[in-house]
Amino acid sequence: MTTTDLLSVFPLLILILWACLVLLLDVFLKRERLTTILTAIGLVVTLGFSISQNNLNLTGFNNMVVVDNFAVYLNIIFLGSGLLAISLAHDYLKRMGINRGEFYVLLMFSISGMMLMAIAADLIVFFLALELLSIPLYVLAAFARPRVESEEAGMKYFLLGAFSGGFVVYGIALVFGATATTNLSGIAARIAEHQADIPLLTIGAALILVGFSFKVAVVPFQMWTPDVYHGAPSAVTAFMAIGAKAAGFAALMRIFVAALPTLSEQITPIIWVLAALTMIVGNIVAVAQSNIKRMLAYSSIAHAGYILMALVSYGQSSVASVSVSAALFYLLSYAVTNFGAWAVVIAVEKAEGKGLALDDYAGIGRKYPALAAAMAIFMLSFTGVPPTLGFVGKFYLFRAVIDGGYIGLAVIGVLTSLISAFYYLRVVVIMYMRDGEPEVRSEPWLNLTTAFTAIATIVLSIFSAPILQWASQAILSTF
Amino acid sequence: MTTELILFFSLALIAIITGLGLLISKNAIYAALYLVLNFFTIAIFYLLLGGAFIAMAQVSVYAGAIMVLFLFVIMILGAEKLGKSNTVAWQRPVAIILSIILLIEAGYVLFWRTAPVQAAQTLPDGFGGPASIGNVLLNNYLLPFEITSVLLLVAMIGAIVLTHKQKTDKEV
Amino acid sequence: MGIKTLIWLLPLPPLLAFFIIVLFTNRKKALSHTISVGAAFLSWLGSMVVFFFAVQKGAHQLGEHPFASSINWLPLADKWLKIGVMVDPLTAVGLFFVAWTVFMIFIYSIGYQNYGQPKGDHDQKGLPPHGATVIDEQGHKHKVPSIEPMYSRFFAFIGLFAFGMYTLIISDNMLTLFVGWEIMGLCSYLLIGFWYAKPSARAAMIKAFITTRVGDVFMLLGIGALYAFTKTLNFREIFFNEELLHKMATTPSGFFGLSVAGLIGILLFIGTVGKSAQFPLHVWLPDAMEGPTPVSAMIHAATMVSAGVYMVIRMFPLLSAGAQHGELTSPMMAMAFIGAFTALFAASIALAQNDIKRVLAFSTISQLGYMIAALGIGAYVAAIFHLLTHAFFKALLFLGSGSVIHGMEHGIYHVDEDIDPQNMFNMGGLRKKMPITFWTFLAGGLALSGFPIITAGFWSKDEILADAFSNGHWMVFGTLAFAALLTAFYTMRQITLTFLGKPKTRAAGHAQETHWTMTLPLVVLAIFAIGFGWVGIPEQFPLIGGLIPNWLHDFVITTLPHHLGEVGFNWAPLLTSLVVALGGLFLGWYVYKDVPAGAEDPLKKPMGFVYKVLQNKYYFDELYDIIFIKPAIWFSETVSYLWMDRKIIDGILHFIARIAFQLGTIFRDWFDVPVVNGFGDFVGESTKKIGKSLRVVQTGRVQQYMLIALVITVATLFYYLFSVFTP
Repeated sequence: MTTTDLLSVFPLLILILWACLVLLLDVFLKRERLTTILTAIGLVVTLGFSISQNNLNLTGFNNMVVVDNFAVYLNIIFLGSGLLAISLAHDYLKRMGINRGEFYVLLMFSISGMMLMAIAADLIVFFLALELLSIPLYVLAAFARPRVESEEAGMKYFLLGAFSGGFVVYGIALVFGATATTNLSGIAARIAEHQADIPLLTIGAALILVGFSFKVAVVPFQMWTPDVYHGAPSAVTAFMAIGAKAAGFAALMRIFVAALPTLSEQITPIIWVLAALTMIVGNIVAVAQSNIKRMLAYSSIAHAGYILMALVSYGQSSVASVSVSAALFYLLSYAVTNFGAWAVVIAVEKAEGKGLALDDYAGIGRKYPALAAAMAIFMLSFTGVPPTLGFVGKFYLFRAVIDGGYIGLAVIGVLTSLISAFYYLRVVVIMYMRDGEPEVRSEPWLNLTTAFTAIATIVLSIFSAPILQWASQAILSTF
Repeated sequence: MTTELILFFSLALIAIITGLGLLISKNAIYAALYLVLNFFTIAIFYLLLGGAFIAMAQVSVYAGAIMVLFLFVIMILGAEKLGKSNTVAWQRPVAIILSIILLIEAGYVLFWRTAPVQAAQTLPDGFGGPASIGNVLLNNYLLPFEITSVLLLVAMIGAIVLTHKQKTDKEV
Repeated sequence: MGIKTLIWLLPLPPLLAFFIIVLFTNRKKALSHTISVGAAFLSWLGSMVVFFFAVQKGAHQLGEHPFASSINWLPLADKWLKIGVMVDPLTAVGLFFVAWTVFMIFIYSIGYQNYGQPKGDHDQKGLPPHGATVIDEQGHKHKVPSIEPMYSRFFAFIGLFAFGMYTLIISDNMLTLFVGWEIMGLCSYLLIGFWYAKPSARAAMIKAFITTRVGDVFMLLGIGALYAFTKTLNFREIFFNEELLHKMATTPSGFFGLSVAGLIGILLFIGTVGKSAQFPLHVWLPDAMEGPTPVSAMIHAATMVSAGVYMVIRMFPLLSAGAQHGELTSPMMAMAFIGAFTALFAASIALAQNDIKRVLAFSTISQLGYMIAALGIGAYVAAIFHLLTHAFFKALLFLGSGSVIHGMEHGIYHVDEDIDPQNMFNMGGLRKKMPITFWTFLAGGLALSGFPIITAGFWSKDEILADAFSNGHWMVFGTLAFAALLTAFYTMRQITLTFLGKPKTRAAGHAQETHWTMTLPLVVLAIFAIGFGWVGIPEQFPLIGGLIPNWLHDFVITTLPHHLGEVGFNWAPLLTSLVVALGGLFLGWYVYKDVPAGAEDPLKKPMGFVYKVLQNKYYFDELYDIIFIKPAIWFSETVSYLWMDRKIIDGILHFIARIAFQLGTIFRDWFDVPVVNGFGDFVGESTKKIGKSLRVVQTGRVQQYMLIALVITVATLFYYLFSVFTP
């Protein structure tokens, strides 16, 4: 092991060690508050190290990991999501009576899995990262046990996760069979030398696509999403919706854009269909939901469809980097908005799964104007109305798709966004136009998160240029 | 050559039969024992390919440790007899059809290749031995190796969290 | 902090004030106005610093290398759409007048909205305060003005407005200029309708919004055309690119025989016609007087309507592209014609108005016409000069009128008389009651009339006339000169009726000078109304010319890529402007010097029919009602609503909605109901039974998910094997 190796995984190393440390301390200290603070410190420190990796462009462990700006960008999203998840969970766990230190430990392990996913450049590492990020999430989904919904969510998530993991491994095996290597740079080299068995490789790639499609909840592999999002504790769901999705897309982008651009002729039609299906089904089914968590679950499916659109044109080298940066920007905008929306959901949620129906939001506009305004901002951002992050994100995404020449897909995207306006704005209408007697929690960290994300949604959209520039520099290093 | 071929085909037959037995058997203990047998056959395959270490690992870890655990669990739960399956009626035929299609597809992929099949190479000395595997594992595959250890730790924590008696119930 | 950062920061304090007041402090009146005025002060201070640096840098330096800074904002395919700020000489003087007037008007608003007065007896939100009854130490009941019920809201809105104005002034491109433009449009709408419970205010706000929108649509078309042709919206990138300007001036646009530059120029100018209330889109401005007086002063006299003129001044290189040897381009012809016509047209209407604020409103329209006409004949510096002086003296006049109205209201409360506090025929003799207001109003009025030598208005107006004369635009010259005569006349009519003579009502007899927060801005603005003219005295003016260098001309002229020369001196326009100003003032005084209480306008009889036409503003409102509004209502009720909406669109929508709902239901029945509701029902009915084991997940649901996924996967593989790879 060389210094470069160590340097390339240094943030990851810090986080894993820190997680082990917190695990031990948690046993002895028995102070949940301290655990929270320690976790936050660990994440912030890791964030600092991650940022310092910007522009370093390291490779380590025999090309098994690549730390490029793409990875740094995603790591920052993961760590930021972790911090937001902590601030959401802090009071929520107490309120739900599930305040145990392992929550934070598992959260950190899951984040380390995601970070590994972002830097992975070897199929074996991808698989390990997938497991490392997923296993804690299975447990976290079931964290509110013995509440049946939560146990069910954990179980379902686990079963389907294992199932999808099978696809990934099978895919990896076929790719290995076709190219005799699991390393992305090796695979790219074999293809370039015409040494690869293309049909086998394609099928392996397709299976990998299917496996990760489960993780990012793409139709028709999305069925678990509503059940799991609904059953899992809300703070976990918020984190899962961002972290797992971003990690899944990180893997897809890394594998397909960096290593398999030559397969685009075969893969693109599939991605096209998946993206279109996801946008259509996600948005239409969301219309029929009356529970806010299920609605947001379908909304997250729909957004996965939008992000997947960016991958459609991945094979065109002139458009690929624009598409990737559009997808990265969209991930960020989705992360900010989504955390905000979930913060509001948590504020309105009561124990025993009450306070989750859309009707429970009636009258909030009058009684809690600030909260309602924040929720309205998030809903508008989800819809893609300026001046919100969602609008900017969609704008670049659609532009990248059109640049790639997929006008039909862009049209589907726009039309489904139109449908989405119906159910997002319905929340706003219910909040402001219906009378009700809502009760809302006011917890300092929760309020802070809501305010922060709401302001970020607006302000970052107006000053989106630096972030966009940052995202556009976050290019994948190709092989 | 021929002895190897005979050995291979007879072992393959055993592997398939034990696999099917595992699926069809109504008694969980029998199923587990079929699986042990299956693992042993696979271990011999590894031996035939020159992977002595992997064969040993297969026997001791899978056929030995894991299967013993399986048997323990089955016996402790008292779930030797599988109850009447409460699956949906159409599930079984669909599953059969799907597996047949998958089989055909897999075969198609295997037999229809574009890249030339390379001649088998003579393996270097000590290939697949404990020393060389240790070398590869701790040099080339150091990162996956370490991550796996973290993964196991996480799985352990998860299992404890999920099965651990609720303290919070009393605290609340 | 560098000067460039400071320029970026200029618009921000008022915006922050807006958000802080709206979100947090809207219940606390004192805090709200402190924040708002403090923000205006910060922007004022910053503007003064920027102005100082700009002047120090020197005209030529600044003209060639303005303070400019821009950031990438939107990536557009291969390049970025940039937005940025820039301070060149034009911006510097613009900042100067905006900062001063805005800051003064903010201070004035405190007094105008009756800060420190008790809450009204029957005041309610959306209506002007109606006064409060207080009992003094002797036990006498008094009626006194009461504080505005939506005090904080007012300060929030004017803060947002100030943000828009500063944004517009410091923009270095058409896009952010338009953003500021529209923000101001919104604020104008909100503030005209500030007393929204008054039906007249509601009607006025809608009228203002829609009328200016007509102009804005054309302007947006112009901006679009500009971008399409030049691929940039940055001012200097367009104006300092001679080749591009030449190309624009020579390429035919395909519309009405105009060149591209001509077409864009005319489209942009229509935006100004709406914003600066030029004929024929002038109808909204008089009605806009329904808003509180500081709003009239700031938005509808000093800043927003001036912004329309500012925009065409900004675009002057484009508007004049292709002009050679005194020939006017098509947009310039349009501007000269419409500006001159509006100047005369509005001035004539002002003659017959009795409402003190309406007179000023028409006067504003007329003076803006002056500037437009000046620009139309190429008198660039004169137009800027008049823009500046007008901003000061017209703001002063409006604030003065607000002070008068306040004094009158005080008198009305005192004597409990039911009269209109804005009707000039109810006033008279206020000179003694409200001395500060009188003297400052007089200063403003004289500046507006162009009283020779000592007022700022004289110098700027004279320069326009001199320009028109020496370049041989006789029609413009004659029209403007006649308009100047009318201006002097109605101004003196106003001053005479309001301040001179004897009180015409008891209320006027009991009027009282207003609070210092209102008089202080008057005094400050009066100083500018008198003194600001000294920066622009032509070099060759007899006697005093050259004593003070013509600083303004030298300074702002460097904004243009090609510097225009100063016009030579000529006695004819000077004499004309002396005659019309003094003559008009004298006539105004002579006719109205002793109008008795309750008498009609002395001109009403002799002018007869004409007076009625003028009083009714040439019946333009009625005309528009017949040709636009009535048909529009008919169209919307019959064609749009009945036919299109109810029959066609509703039909289609219902159809789509039905399909979407059906689809949603089907999806729900497939995905949701069996899985979730099935589960949920179980939970509801027999939680324990199910909770014991994890039977739920073994009921086949997860298998079902997996099965679907597997089918899809197999199908995908099938697709690959038998369609993609089959040779």
